[in-house]
Amino acid sequence: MSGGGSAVELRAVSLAFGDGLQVLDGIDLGVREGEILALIGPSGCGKSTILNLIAGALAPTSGSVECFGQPVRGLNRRVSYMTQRDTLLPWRSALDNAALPLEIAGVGRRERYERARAELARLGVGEFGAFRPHQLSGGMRSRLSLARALLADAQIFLMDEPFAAIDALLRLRLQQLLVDVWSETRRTIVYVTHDLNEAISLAHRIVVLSHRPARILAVRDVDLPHPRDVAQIRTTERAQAMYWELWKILEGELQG
Amino acid sequence: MAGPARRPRRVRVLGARLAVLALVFAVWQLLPQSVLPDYAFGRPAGVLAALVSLISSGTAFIATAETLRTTLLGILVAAPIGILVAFAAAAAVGAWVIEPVTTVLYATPKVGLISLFILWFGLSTRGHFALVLMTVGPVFYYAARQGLSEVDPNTVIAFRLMGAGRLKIARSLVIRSMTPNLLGVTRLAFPIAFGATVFAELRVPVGVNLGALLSRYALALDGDNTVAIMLIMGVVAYILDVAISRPLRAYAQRTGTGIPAV
Repeated sequence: MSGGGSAVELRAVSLAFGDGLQVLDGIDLGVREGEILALIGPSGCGKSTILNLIAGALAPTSGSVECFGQPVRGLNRRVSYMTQRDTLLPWRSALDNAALPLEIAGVGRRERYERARAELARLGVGEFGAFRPHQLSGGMRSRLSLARALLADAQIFLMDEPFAAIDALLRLRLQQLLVDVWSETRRTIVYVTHDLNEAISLAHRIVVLSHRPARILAVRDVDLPHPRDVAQIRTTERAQAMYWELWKILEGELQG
Repeated sequence: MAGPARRPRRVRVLGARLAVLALVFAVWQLLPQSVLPDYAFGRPAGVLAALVSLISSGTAFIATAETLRTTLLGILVAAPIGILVAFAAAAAVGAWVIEPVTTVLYATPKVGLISLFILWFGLSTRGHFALVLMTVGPVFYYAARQGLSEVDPNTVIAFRLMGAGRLKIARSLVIRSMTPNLLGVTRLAFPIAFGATVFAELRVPVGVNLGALLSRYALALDGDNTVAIMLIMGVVAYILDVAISRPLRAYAQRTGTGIPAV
């Protein structure tokens, strides 16, 4: 891990929606700079809500959210958000989609295309720059979304089950790609998933959330070497022991 | 191998169609006045002669041009107004003010407005344009409203996280997201506008246009010329539809976005 300072701090964060639905209940959570933190928990428990709070798309009912020591008020421009349903623009080519954050930042046409081409090539979709998103497979679209997120130059990546809709084998390759990208860039990543293996393979730490209203049930360090071979690491004894440990914590919540 | 086998079948189908058409024309030409009166239906030979006369004198082209000018001008003015009003109505306050007005306007039978336009503009072609505007404006308004409601809120957030301002979001996301809806409704708007133009020209028969000619020939009980004008209108409507739907379909294929009604 690089840095090690605090990237995000949630202090005693609770959130209830207007209809009285209590989603989060007193969440205290710190995300260290340069780490991959996985959030796991039952479906609908509020994992995505935590990402929305960090992104500034939602404000807590009580408590505070800070990003690099600054309170989050309004949308947090230090983050980039990748969701399961990508936000690629269907009328733009892959290259133009990747270059969008540079275009918004006012980077000149030639430079932004050069950088977008280089990023697409690094992520293995360099040949598909002229294609529109509907002409790409799910895996390619994920790579394209990742390229756009990297070009946005955000310090924190919020990833909400970004590979959930992709078949298992391709998902492994994308997870490995994410680990490789992390090794090169050391970005802070907050990663929401339902998949315990995915959490163990990717993360430095795993936060287990309860059924709604979400509370933190456990925080576990993943004491496995990083960068990793995600396919191999999940077969290790330590990873399997961790899987069962996390499963035991979650099992009761799923029955509840 | 399938080609030669298919060709005779295609020829047979074409032959059958021509035979049916010839039979219809023959029956139409030969049926007695008591069954098909000339003033109401004309006769094929008379309709053909009327068509030749309308085309050779240039009247058909002048009338079509004037009708199409009103139609196109109506669409060109109605589309931006409808879209701008939809943007205004999408704002929180705008919806309270604009929505009731647009609902009443949409529900009001537009054909009734022509009497009002006669009072406002007298016997003038301005009334034709006004009717097209009032008929097509709401069509664009509702398409734009629908398009606005379909803009993905997550993509708006993604744009804002990348630092995009309102103008950039409007230009690069909102308007582009609405484009399939607007293109789809453009195809629908043309026949609607064309019909509204001809109706207005019929009710206020001034100028040289298809509606005025239709009105004149119908009042003179001239079945041949009336049917000839109807045929010209059919051909114009068909050409308009083909001219508009082809580029729309090409756009839909290029971008992979579905365009309603294309």
